[in-house]
Amino acid sequence: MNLKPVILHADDDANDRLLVQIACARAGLSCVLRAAADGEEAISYVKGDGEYADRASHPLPDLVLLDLKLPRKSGFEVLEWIRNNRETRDLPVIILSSSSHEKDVTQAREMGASDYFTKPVSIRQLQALLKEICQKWLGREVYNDSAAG
Amino acid sequence: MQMVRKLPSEIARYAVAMGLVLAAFLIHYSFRSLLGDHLVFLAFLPASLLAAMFGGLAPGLTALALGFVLGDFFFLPPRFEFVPHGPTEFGSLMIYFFTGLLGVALIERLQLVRERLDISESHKQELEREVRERQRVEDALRNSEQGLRLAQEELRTHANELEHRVADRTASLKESLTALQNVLYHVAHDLRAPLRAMHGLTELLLEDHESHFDGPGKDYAQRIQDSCRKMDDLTSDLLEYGRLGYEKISPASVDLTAVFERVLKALEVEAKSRNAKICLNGPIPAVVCDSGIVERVTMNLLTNALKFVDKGSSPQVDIWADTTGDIVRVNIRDQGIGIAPEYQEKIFGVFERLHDDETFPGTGIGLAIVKRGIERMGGRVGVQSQGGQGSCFWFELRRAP
Repeated sequence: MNLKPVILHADDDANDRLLVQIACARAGLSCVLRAAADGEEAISYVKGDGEYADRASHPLPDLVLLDLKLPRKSGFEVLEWIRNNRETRDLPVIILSSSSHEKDVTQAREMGASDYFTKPVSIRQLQALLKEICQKWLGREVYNDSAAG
Repeated sequence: MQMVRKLPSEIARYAVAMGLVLAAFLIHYSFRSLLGDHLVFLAFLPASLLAAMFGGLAPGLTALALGFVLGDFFFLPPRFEFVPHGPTEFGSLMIYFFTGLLGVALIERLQLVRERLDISESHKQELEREVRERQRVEDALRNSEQGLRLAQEELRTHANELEHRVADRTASLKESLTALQNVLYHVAHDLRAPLRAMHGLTELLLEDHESHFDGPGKDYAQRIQDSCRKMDDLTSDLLEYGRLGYEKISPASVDLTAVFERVLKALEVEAKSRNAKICLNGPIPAVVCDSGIVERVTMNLLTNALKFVDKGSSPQVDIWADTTGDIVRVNIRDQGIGIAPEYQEKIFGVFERLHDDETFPGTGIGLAIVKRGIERMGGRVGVQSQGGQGSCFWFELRRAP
């Protein structure tokens, strides 16, 4: 049985998805990382629709890393859906966006985002950020005993 | 009935009276044999009445008296004597006198009434004239009112047209501004994504696959990484500079001491690594501004103060405020390399740099952000410096009430 926390990462940029994946590994975070490339896919995953119906292979995430600018459905729409769904209402949703625009930050916060970060340029900063996020929202069990900095 | 009007001149009146009496005298004298001795005043009576008519009361009475004397003396028996003969002559003398007197008085009275009529007539004419004048003025007024109304209508049409044009122009301006904002937004998102990938992946190459590189290879990879970082800084600074131009600012009372403390905390690592001495002197009063912008401004100014020092020396920065009336001037003085007077205006422009990127790295937008930010909040910004003796940057904002 898989006890590792599940993180859903919704981002349309393949490089960003790869960097988050590598950063998680480098930070020594023991978690299952699932990816969604657009807003609709992210909602389908959380909902458990279609190909994601099998919760054994696609478990409900413990945390969502959400980009704002996504194809088909924007990050705001995904956030709105998650907050309006009884089952996922309290799911931590962390916005990880390129935008440091005040308007985006305020809107995301008003719509119930748990946190808001702009994507760092350096992978070292990304590592540190992901560590901080997991520590705050997922607790201690997320670390391997051999957690490397 | 049209009555004879009095003659205008006094002399003419008496002259006419005399003339009439003389004429009466001559007529009676010519027809004396025909008229006899009893109707001596037949000609003098009409003469004095006519004199009264043309000359008024005094000439009429004068003519009457003259007729009396002449008739009595020349015609009434005994002739060439003033004393009347008998009761008949005396009677005709009296009849002449009183009839004449009555006639003259009557005529005078009639003249008076007439004059009064004349006056009221002239009054009436004057009134009529006035009424006509008013009518004319009223017409003119009505005309000008109509003209005014027309002009007003025309003006209104023009104003409407202008308003429409302004609205159209504003709409199209707004449209292009929105388009521009959109571009900026996409620049923020889409342009930085590949940059992140380049930076992150180069970083991975250097850290996890270092053994595959020789010396120059590592240097190139490092340069790629530095360039990515620089482009990211440039993008975010340009974005910020652009946003400062159109974004709404929300002025409020901001505690500058707290702002400086926050910024100094954010710069703590940087300051320590440069062995800097930063002195925040005394409380800095609260000012009216946008807290986000003023924080960015102080951040930029302090970063510069830490950055622009001679190689090897450590930065020394003093911060204090002077208050004059309701204006607070915040000073940030460093002991750095200073700015020659001829460049002191220039450095606030976008992309204006005085040094090469190797010596003092930067985007060249920091002070442009400072200037635009402070000016958007209604303040002023400037610098005092002698080259080589440090600089004192200042900005002024309105003190919070």
